[in-house]
Amino acid sequence: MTVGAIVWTAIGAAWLAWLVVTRSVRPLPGIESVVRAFLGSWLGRIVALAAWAEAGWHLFGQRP
Amino acid sequence: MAHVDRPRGARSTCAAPGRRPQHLRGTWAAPAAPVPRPRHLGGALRKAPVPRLAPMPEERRLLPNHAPYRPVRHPPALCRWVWPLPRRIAVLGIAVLVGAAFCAWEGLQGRYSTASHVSILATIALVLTLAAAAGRGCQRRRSRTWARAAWRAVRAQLSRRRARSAAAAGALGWVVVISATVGWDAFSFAMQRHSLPTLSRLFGAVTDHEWGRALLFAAWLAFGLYLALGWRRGSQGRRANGRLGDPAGAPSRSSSRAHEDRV
Repeated sequence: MTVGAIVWTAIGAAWLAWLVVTRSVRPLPGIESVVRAFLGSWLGRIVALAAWAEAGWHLFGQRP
Repeated sequence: MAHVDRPRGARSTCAAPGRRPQHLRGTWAAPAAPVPRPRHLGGALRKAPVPRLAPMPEERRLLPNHAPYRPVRHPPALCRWVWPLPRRIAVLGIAVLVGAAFCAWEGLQGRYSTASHVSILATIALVLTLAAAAGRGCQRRRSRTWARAAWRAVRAQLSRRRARSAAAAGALGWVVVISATVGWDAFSFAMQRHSLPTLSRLFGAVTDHEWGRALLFAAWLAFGLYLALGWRRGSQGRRANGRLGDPAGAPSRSSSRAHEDRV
């Protein structure tokens, strides 16, 4: 197992653990709150849509 | 006309309407029945109904007397059309079927094919158009207000003038997780080693397969549609605003001021 694989596994585990924690502990904002924080205005929505479009083009139209 | 025998001296009972016979004059008479109005006049002869006063809005009742009353501006019809999905089950079902077929077709396309590039660009253009069309007048806050609030929150956390709350701790946790992901991806990209795969390469291992590409494309498309159409004023927020304290759906004392803050 390479170093990169180990680090990515640790980051994925951190993501999963934090998702579970924010889902369990009520006052902590969940992932939906983070997304909605960007969707509260035109500026944040445009930033989120630009990131989404770039990610899709890079993932499905370019060599990843 | 039938002949009627009557005694001599008796008068005919067929008197003119409105005139009583001679032998009945001076006695009590029952009030005449109301004359039926001609039907062809319809309701023209009816008595005009008393206008009722419009009921006071709930938000006006909640406001104190000295507070200025500003009527709530309802969102455009398109915003109300987008999210009451239970009323649009048929449209939603057709859209899901078409989207599933499109994602399955996209899964069959190669990464470098012209059809794939055209379809991805068309999808991005469609989602951006939907966001512009459905979002007009439906944003919860102005961009300037949103940016200022975000900047104040960051500055307050950096200067530690306020006690850290649970929300701030949660936001800090998200910043750490996202920064670790982006930072390690950038480091791996800069190193360009086989032992340090980037995030794109990890996803590329999934999109090499047809089903993986189709499923990932479906997830990407669904997330983009949510970014374009979701979380707008006067739509889904009615249900969640009660918990978040946003008065878009439930009128409260601060509803008029909150509506002023939106576009």
